[in-house]
Amino acid sequence: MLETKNFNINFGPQHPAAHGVLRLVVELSGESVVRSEPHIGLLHRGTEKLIEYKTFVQGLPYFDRLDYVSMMAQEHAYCLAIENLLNVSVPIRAKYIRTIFLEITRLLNHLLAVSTHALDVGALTPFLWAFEEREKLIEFYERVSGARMHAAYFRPGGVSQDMPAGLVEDIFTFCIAFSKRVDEFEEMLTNNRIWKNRLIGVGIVPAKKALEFGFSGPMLRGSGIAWDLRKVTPYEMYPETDFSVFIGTYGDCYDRYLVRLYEMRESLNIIQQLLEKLPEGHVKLDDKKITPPSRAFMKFSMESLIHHFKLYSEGFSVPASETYVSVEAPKGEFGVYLQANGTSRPSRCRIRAPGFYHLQGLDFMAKNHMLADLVTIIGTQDIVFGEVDR
Amino acid sequence: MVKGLKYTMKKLQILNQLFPESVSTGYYYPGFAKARDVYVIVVREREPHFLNFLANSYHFCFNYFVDEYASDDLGLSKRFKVFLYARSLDSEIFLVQPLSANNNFSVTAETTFRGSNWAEREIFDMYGVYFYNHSDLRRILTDYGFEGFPLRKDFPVSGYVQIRYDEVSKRIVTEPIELTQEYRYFEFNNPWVGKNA
Repeated sequence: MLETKNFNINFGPQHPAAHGVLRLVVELSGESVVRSEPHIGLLHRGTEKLIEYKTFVQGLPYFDRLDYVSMMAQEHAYCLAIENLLNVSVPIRAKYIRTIFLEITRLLNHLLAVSTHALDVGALTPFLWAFEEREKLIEFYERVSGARMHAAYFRPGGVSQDMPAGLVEDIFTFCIAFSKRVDEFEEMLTNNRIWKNRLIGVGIVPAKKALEFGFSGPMLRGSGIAWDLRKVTPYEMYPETDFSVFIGTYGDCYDRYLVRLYEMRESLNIIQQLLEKLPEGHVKLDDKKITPPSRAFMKFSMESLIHHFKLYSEGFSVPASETYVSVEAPKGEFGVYLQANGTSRPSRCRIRAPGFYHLQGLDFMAKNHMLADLVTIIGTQDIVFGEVDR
Repeated sequence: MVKGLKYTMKKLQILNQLFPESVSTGYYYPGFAKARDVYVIVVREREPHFLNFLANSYHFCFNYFVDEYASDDLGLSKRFKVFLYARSLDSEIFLVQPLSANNNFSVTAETTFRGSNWAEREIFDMYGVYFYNHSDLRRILTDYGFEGFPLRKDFPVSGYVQIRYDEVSKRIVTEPIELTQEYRYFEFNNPWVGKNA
């Protein structure tokens, strides 16, 4: 018998299935993975450090750029943290708009997650379908904030501007049409023999392991733990909305795929419920020491002009205190620890990215699987390097 | 679901009695999450058996690891703080360990919460806080061969070095940073808000 040695390869950082800049050192025995060691940080920009040198509002756009497929969910966590420190709550219409756009964001993310996962596994068609739908959702982003991706739409104290006329109807029309698209996804994938062969039994995460590795979102729910921060620590309009949390049974990639798919349907459900009840009113806090005045006011009111200048140069001061806010971002629990020291800049902003902890579990998930399954597992983890590397 | 102040204080007292060498103070802090009970405990040492008790005992069961991170308050005698955030089904716990600049050693939580491996690597990378018994304490986010601890308050935001590809020597070279314009940092000390205001 010949002596065989394990083979080490570099996977990435320039590999399309690495979902960005992931360098993976994989030790292979034949074609099965013995050890996989992620090397991250190739997209490290020092976001946390930069935020310490910006005022609270200036720090906000950095959050769009973390997980760049679920932008508003992250702005939201940051806004909630600031609102928590200032001890203010936003007007009811702002809450509705926020929740609607949080769910649109979830759709955006899950569309990308499921379709690129399918692409990694070898199905190109869902990818093309999903990106057509994503385009429509990104258009909603553009109409409401002016930007297609990096919206900076949620602001401390509300949202930056009201929804334009006609948007509510268009979102509603989209929701009706989109539920058919989800059906098409299901037709294409759920009972697809190749898809099932590639996903079932791959990358199993036992519930206990998911907990001690700090998994969250679909990665945790796929393992059968009904944990959704929208239910556990209700925020915005979620407590008034009727929706269910889906959990998997086996904790494999297929379960997580199904969880994501059902979450998309549930998001549609939430959006429709909220659109029907959307009230009139202010979209930002009526405290001019926190939210800027409207442009029209600045033309004739000296006070407004001063407020505007002070808010966009110095910013508002936040009393010395600390808070940890986590929200259910599409990828999992996105947490922001914010420490204020009484000035207009945060003294520490810790960002808890769900992908960081998911990627850490890659080694145990991929162990003893084939090299091709490694790609499936990276796909199911829904990794985006903007948030992993921060 | 919220059991309230009385209940959490009682539980903290038990912890204090059981682990007098680890727990220095415990207090109830409602500022973190409103819907659930939150324990914030200042610890002297993060002994493995103490963490194990928190994670696995019947009365606490904080077995869901959430996050571990640090902060830096330059000027304080205990400059660094290492936070460990874990959850049980109905409550949340923050373990806060203050560390001084020359005694910046903590104990790894890896034996109890496997997920803290990378979090501790990150803290080491960013703050230079060391963790005893950590299985693999290397840098994680910064570049290979990076020097310094970037999230410390005395580290400049622009860093010390810049990296470029040198056409002559056909390799990547690291050289001291050269900025055409200094980083503009505006001090916004509002003259109208005094100390008593």
